[in-house]
Amino acid sequence: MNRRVATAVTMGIREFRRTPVLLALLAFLPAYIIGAFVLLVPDVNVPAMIDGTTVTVPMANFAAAFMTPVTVAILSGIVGLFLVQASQAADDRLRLAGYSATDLVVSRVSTLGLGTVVVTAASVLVAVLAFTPESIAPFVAATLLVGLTYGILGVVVGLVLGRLSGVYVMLFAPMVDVLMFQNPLATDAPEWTRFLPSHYATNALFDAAFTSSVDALDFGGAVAYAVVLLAIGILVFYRATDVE
Amino acid sequence: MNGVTRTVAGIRASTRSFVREPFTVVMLVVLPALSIQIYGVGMGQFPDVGIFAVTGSVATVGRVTGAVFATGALAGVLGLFQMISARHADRRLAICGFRGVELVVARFATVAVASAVVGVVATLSLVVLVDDPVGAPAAAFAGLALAGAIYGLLGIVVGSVLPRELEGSLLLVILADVDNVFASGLFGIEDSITKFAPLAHPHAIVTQAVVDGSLATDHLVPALGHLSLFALLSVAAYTYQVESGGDA
Repeated sequence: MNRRVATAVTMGIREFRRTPVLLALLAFLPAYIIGAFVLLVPDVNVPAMIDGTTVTVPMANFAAAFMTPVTVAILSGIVGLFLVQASQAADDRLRLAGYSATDLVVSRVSTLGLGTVVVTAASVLVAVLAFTPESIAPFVAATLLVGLTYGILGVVVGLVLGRLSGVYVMLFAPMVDVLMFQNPLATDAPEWTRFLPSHYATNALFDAAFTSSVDALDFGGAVAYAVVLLAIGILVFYRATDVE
Repeated sequence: MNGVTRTVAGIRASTRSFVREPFTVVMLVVLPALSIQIYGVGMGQFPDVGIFAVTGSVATVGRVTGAVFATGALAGVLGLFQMISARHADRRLAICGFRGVELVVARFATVAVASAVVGVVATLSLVVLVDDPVGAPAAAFAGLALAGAIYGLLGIVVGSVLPRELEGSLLLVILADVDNVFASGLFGIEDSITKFAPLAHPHAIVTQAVVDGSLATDHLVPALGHLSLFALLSVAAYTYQVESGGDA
């Protein structure tokens, strides 16, 4: 990491640190959303479709595993959206001051990555207090991939739309994608839902949560999805900060 | 300038600032219909093996959930942004003699009008998209309008107490998402605490209007109670925020 990038990332972290309300919310909201479901769902078993097989799991465990990607997607998406919008004016000035597009992209992606790690850590911590995933490391990795995917989506939406419109989009997108169409309770998901952003990552996450085997194809698909989105994000970001 | 003139001037100003963003206005019209259809398709993929505790078909309740969520969440986020964007202007208006209650009424009027528009679109979408005829569209609209008004006021409260766009959005979006899932009754959560969720009673009103074709009078009073509570809270929070110099 060169000095310019390190400075920009340090400034980003300092900005996070200076807003304790934000840090408190990033820690509290996962506890609220995941904890509320774990505590309130009825004490029954539900048949979930995991990796093509029906697995019966306690509803509380299912809720903990399922609400983790929902929470991470929502929080990361909104953080990505505001990260890029808040830094837009600064980025324009940094570009004029000599920062290259690559410097800025690496800086903002690094800051977004740190934000996603915070959100993922808080969410996974709450989830593992409620249940023990079968494979913890892949569970964490899949959650992080959901967060990165939605964080990058938030950045793209933030560059294309205004704040209010962007929040509207990032309010609906994770609910529709994760909550509605990646729900393992469903048995008749439409084919097109496999193209949604969280499809592969949530498949990997549910495998890791409830089975001992994890499908490498799901992880590969999730990584590929995030990389393609990142490439699109970089293009849009580059155009948005182009001072030529 | 008397109180009525001041309030009308405030309403006109805040409405004008809102309609200056046509894309946001378009989203308020498009997203409810889209949400209703997607929730209907989404819930239609679940097997009917007793996973969900719902009255009526799962797809219909899914569409109702989409309608209530869209109306409530859109109005709530709009309320939040109205409050935050108007803070500096309102502080100056307060110095010029506007009272806190007049300012908050002006801001809420815009949110109420937007909620009504979303409610009309959502009601029409339900009438068109739900398989069985909607027996009481007026009652469905009443439930949706209540959802929009309650969340609009909640947005004003959050915007007054936490006047920061990122933090306020995070809080409101999570509240709307969790509240919506609780209100839907989809996961069979029977804990009485969920009845205090702001969308619980409007959701019940819309569901009964769509499924049974009648007005759920037993849910009307609690919903109006929520509305009154958030109205009081929003006036108190905003008045304190404006009169204390906007640093509350």
